[in-house]
Amino acid sequence: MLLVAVAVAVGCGGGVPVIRSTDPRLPSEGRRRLAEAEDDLAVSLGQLRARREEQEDIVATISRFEDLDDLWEREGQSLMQSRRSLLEARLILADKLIEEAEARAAVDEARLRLARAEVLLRYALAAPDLEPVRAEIASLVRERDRRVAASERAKTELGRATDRLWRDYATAASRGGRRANALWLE
Amino acid sequence: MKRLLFLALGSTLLACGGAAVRVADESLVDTLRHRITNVENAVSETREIINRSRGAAHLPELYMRLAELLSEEARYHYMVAYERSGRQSRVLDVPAAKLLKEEALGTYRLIARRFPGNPLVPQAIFNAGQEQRELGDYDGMRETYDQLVADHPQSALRLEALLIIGDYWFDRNDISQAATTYQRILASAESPVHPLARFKLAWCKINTEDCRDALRLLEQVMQTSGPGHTRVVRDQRLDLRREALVDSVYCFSQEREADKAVDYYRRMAPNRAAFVAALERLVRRYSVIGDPLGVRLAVRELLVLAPEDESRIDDARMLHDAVTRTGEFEHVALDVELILRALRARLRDPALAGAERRNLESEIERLARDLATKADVRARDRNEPELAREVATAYRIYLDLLPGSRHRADIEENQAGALVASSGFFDAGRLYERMAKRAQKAGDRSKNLFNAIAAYQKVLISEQGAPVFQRVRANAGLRRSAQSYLRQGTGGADELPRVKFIIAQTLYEQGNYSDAIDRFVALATEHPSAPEARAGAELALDAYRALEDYEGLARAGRRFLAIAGLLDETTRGQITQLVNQAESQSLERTTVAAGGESQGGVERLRALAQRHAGSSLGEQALLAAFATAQADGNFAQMVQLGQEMADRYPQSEAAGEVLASLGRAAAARYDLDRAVQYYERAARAAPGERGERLRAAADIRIALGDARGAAATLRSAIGATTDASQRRELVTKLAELLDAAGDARAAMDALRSAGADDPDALGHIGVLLARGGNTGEAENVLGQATGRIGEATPTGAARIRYGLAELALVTLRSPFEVVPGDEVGAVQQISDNVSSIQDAYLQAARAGDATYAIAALSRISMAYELGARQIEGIHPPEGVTGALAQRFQQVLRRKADEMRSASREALEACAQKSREVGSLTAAARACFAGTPPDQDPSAPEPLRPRRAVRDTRQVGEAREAVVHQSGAASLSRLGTLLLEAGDPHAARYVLARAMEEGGGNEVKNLLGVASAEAGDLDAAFKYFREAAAAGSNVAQANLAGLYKRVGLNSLADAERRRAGNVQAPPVALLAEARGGGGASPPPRSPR
Repeated sequence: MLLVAVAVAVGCGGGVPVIRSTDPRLPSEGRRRLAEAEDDLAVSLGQLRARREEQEDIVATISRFEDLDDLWEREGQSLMQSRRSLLEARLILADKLIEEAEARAAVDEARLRLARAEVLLRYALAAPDLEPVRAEIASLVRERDRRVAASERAKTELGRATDRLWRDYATAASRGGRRANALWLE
Repeated sequence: MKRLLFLALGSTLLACGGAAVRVADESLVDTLRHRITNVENAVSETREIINRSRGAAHLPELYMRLAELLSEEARYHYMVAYERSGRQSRVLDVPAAKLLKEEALGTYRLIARRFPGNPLVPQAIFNAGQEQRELGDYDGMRETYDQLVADHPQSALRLEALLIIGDYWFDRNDISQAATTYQRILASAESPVHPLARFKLAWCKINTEDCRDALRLLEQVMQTSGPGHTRVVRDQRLDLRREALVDSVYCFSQEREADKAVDYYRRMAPNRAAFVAALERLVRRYSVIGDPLGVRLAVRELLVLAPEDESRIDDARMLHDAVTRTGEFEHVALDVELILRALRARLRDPALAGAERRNLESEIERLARDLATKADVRARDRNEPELAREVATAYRIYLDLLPGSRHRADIEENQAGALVASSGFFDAGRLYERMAKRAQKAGDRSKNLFNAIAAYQKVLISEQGAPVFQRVRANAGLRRSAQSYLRQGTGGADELPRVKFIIAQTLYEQGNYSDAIDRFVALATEHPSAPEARAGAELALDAYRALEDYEGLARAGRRFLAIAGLLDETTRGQITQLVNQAESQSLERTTVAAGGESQGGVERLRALAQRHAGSSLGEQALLAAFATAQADGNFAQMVQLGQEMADRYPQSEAAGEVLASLGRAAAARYDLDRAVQYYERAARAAPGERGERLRAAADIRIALGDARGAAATLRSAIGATTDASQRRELVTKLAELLDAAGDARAAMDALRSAGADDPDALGHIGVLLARGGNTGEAENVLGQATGRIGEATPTGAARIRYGLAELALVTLRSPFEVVPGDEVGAVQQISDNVSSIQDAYLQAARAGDATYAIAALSRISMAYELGARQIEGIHPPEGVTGALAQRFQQVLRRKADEMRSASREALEACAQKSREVGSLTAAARACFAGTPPDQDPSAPEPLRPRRAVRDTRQVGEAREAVVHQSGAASLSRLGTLLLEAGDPHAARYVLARAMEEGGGNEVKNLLGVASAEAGDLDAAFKYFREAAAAGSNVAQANLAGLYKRVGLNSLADAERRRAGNVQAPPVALLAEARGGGGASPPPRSPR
């Protein structure tokens, strides 16, 4: 939902008249203000794209893992489960990071609208109401912070899953034999 | 030498018994007979015409025609005989033809003889010579042509005649004569005869070993064209340029370099067929003269261009021989192809079968294989990639053209090696894969798969960069091969780590870092002692760096460090440093991110700390979270995080500072109990700052009336303080505290254990001793102090003086020992004593300490009282009775009254002083009450014990308000709430700060109430008086209440009347001031 809001608002201005950093009516200071806000949003959206790509990579890895189900079973249930848990933890973290990135983009988009409104007001080009945007930003910031916390929890879980996998892996390796080949065949 | 063949007339056609006889083409014979008939008729007619045309101008033509007809008839007769003989030989005896020819010859001679000037004569002579030649009369022919040349120098036939003459001499091996004759032709203007003349002259040169000239002449023939370049010889059309081309080979081989031959003949050849013919000649020539280079070049070209026939096999053999002998393999691929194509062409012949076929196949296959392998050896020995590439192509061609070869496996192996040597890694990889699939033995399969993996890897890490599509395929191939290799599980023990490393490295090179990391870690886990594992560990860390996952890097680094046998010392040191840097980076980034995220930021740091609990990163993250919370002013979070820090990392260097920060933060919120707790914990956690933190804790305890706790903390602080002046200060505080608590012994011990040798401490000890009745020791100590009184503080000096005065006062307590008969002197002595004691107290009063001033004044009144009592205790002298005794008693009473009057004056002065300074100490109270204090009133009075109360929500909010909006108003509000809650000690601490922040009368009044309820009557009195003097009737009422509390009812009533009607909230009034009275316990009596 947050992303829809970003997509709509970027185009429509969310109630605030759209003015860009290249508008010739603005002095340099006003243009710089808008440019910074526009840049922040661009960075956020770029980050969101990157997070999505990371998620796709993880999905592909999981798919390969599932394809080798029978091989992993031969490695042992414990190791197989550890590997699965690690991949799941990665996927969960990827999802959380996407949500966090969406929240950041929403915050930056709202901040851009606020910057536009402030600039319009300051240079007497319009008289938008700033309070609703500010309230919206406060709400979005809270949501962002909540998602940050969720990401951090997911990172913690990933760390545990990683440690568990390599512990089990070391145990399996110390037993010799097939030398945990399933991972290499993914 | 080329010889022209002539008809040998007179030869007999031999019939070969048993041999096949060609049947004459009867239809042709019939045709020829028909022609003979026609010609005979034509001859007859011509003869008739001649007979009728005697003397005619055209008679020569008629004779010419006759001769031609006769010659033609002769030819037909010959052809009939030839056909009849089955064309078995051209040497035939045909009498009819001979006769006719001789007749023709005669006719030609007739023309020349009878018509010498006729233009037909040269032709007739020439034709005569032809007839002679055909009749075998060569000498006659020569003579005829000599005649022609001599007699008809302008005739066009002259050159033809010379040509024939030249051939005559050439055939007789008179090369010189022949050359001369040919030269005569060439000396004439260019004509169609010249090319042939040149050609023949060239042959003369060849025969005289003048190849240079011969070549020149032949080149002239080759490089020109025209009607003279084509000659018909015995019904065969000859192309002189072709002939010259081929015949020039001999001289070319003598005069020119062999490596130029092919290009030369390609350039000179009029067409492909001529070029091929020349090449064939070249091959043979160079073979003969033993020039393998020439053979090689020519035969190679020949094999390329020549039609595929039997002779190509010999060419193939020659090519192999030439290449092997020259040792030049730069075209080995082409050579192998040519050799094998020659074989394949030959094998297409169905007639070739059985052993012959097999032998040929075997031989040629061996030749091709030999060439390729020799070239391979050369390439390897000299390390020539270009040659290796050529060799690989040669092997490929071999396999393409001989798919069923029994040497296939070896050739493939060689080909793969050549591909590798020439950096054709992709093709090598594919080849190894195919070989692996076909391999029968598991060991061979593994070996080939391993080689495939290594080759594909080379493609991917090649510096030159293979095309994208090839890289994609190489990647797929590598993965396929590696997986097959691993599935097989028969690879060498030292190969396994390498294969796994390659797999992981490929993922790394593709930027698939997460998958690469998993594999590098797995490699390190499975094969810790392999060098690839160590390299993999470094790459894994590098991958984390590329992902900017510094947390992951630190975690992985620690994992690697923990794997036994994985790292050498140098690498271990490097990774340890990397881990430290990564932890710093991770923390730095998280901290920077936290700075912009308020609540989320702290949570982020906290989560980081949890993930790395127990490590230095965890500790640093927790510390950063604490600092962030502190920057945000979030005390609740600070407490949580600080607690966690102290619990998890008690040994941390920062633990002490964190706890001290919590103490300061608590103190800033006036959460004094917590502040004390944190300061004391901070002191335990960080010995370096112990003294300072304990002092802070002690000060708060003192302010809160926790004498016991403060004493313990002060003792610890004293032990932790090395600075002499600070120690002295702490000892003084401790002594005061213990003194106020009534533990004089402990106070003295504290002073003495600190090495008290300063006058203040000695004074304090002296007073304590005097108070305790140890007059002798007190005198001793105070005597020491007196010698250094100039160094004492005002309080210290006052104490010393006061102590001495107290010691003197003791003398007044016991009845005066009157010397009998000196009763008057006794009275005087008593007066003098009292006067001295007064002086002593007055010295104390002037020392500059108000408390001791008031106490001293009050004790002066006591001295006078005691003096009065002593006087009253004097009995009249013995023997004085009656009225004298009464008179004596009256005098004593009067003296005593005077003393008591002086006592009252002293009390008055004390009360005045008390009002002046605003003091309600025990001494002041005694003075106000008009009763001299019997015990030493200078002892400090302890505060009431404190009862701490729980924070309500309102108090919590008020604390927050103080932090965020510090000022008199917020402090006042907090102080009021604490007072209402029943914690006057904490309240007065806060309200005192409110006063410092500019709080007005209201605050001062509240401060008075808090002080009174805490037991500090003196302070309460001071605040109430100041506030009342500033116009606060509430404070006035409280002053009245305070008087009432201490039993000074008349003073209380006076103040109550002055206060008038008072409206104030209950918290602002003492219980006594509210009219209830009795709520507060009565004050302690001064000692």
